[in-house]
Amino acid sequence: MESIVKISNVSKFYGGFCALKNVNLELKPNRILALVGPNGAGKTSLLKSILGLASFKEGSITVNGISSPAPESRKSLAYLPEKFFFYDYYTVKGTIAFYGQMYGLSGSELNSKISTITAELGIDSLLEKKLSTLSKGQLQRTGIASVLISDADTIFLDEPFSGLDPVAIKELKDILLNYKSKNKTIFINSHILGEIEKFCDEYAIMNHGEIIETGEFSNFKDGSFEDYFYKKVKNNA
Amino acid sequence: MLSVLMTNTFLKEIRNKSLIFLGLLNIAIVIVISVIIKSLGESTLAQDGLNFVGGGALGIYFLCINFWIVFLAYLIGSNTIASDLNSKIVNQLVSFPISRWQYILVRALGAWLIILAFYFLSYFVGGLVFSGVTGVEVEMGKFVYAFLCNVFPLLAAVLVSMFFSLYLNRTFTFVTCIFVSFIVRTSTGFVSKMGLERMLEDFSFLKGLGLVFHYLFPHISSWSGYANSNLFNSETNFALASESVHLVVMILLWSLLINIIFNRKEL
Repeated sequence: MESIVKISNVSKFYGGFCALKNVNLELKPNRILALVGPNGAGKTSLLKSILGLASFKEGSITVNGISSPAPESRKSLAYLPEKFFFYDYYTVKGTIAFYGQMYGLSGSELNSKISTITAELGIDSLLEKKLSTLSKGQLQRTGIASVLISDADTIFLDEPFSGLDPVAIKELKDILLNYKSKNKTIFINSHILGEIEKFCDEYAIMNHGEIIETGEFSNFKDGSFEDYFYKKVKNNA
Repeated sequence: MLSVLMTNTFLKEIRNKSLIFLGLLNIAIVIVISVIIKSLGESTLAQDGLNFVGGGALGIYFLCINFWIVFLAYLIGSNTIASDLNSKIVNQLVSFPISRWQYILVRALGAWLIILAFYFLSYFVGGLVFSGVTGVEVEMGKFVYAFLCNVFPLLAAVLVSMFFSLYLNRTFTFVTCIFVSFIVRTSTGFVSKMGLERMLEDFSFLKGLGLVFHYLFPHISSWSGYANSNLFNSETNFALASESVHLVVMILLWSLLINIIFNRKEL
């Protein structure tokens, strides 16, 4: 099975500090991969390197066989940052429409997708509200809707559960599983281990800029991954 | 995709407070001066006097527009990328399948077009209102030519301020642009007065610095001065051909510099 994302021997430095050390990782199609690790482990640096937002000194990253940071490598992917933010004078509908248009949607197709996705995320009553008036959770849902409307083959979510209440977290997990069922691939960067182990397929543990282990969540019984992760990171300190 | 981003640039910059403020100021100036001239015409002045006062007011109005349109270009140029960088929205924008230079191009062209639209409206609508109220006839050829003279220098002004905004905050970018503009104006005056050969004689650090500013920065105020001299039939020693070549080179150079720096930027 050909990898969607292939990261080979990637190293990245900030001055003398090594943010990524010889990282190797593959994201296979129709899977949900969770990149986990403590603060400062290098998760965001890796995500930004894949998306072409940050450069790296050594190694290579390909997305669908195209080297990052070529714009073509981002043709079939969409990205949700940890704190979604857009121009506060945009309405919810305008924001989601902007994202849809950036991925080539227009007219009735665009409007129909906006209606469907916002209904799924429970923000259909907020369509005409300006972003400046939204709560943190509503803003995060708008960001998720903006990513989902792209219908990208692969989506990258940086801390997607941040700012969401338990009900919204459950709904988001269902939405992501539904998205995956459409033959899509999802890359999640998250701290909330209890949530991700319930619905992600694979994990990659990152610490001090290195991937220290990759594996399948199916090898763990309910709740046991959190303890395993803690021990693994402690031993790697 | 780029047209969507261009529309986004317009929506963003049309809300620029400086643009709104100068727009309102323009309207206020046009209304106040028109009312004064009209009331003078109804009470004391004969038509000849009215034409004289109206012509003078029109001239001052154009001078003001040509003066502050450059400031506006610096203000909008210093904001257009900087606001995206500060709010981190730029991360989302360049994660779309567009290259960074396309993002820069769209933002620069969008900002430039907004400034041109403002310039066009101020210049022509203001001119027509004055003309209508005072009966002063505007020489349309000169009027249009003076406008066109400032079109591409404004793009250069946007590019220079965009470049500084990659390093400095908005206020410092604006102040730096004004400062650089002053130095360029001074050095250009020296070079055109003394000539290059005399500048190179007894070469000193200050002369070298002057030459760097003269050759590596666009001569925006010189173009503005040339536009005004055409409008008011005053003499000028502006070398149109060499200045045009210099302007084109500057636009390409500063576009390239922004592109190189922005491409290397960690977002």
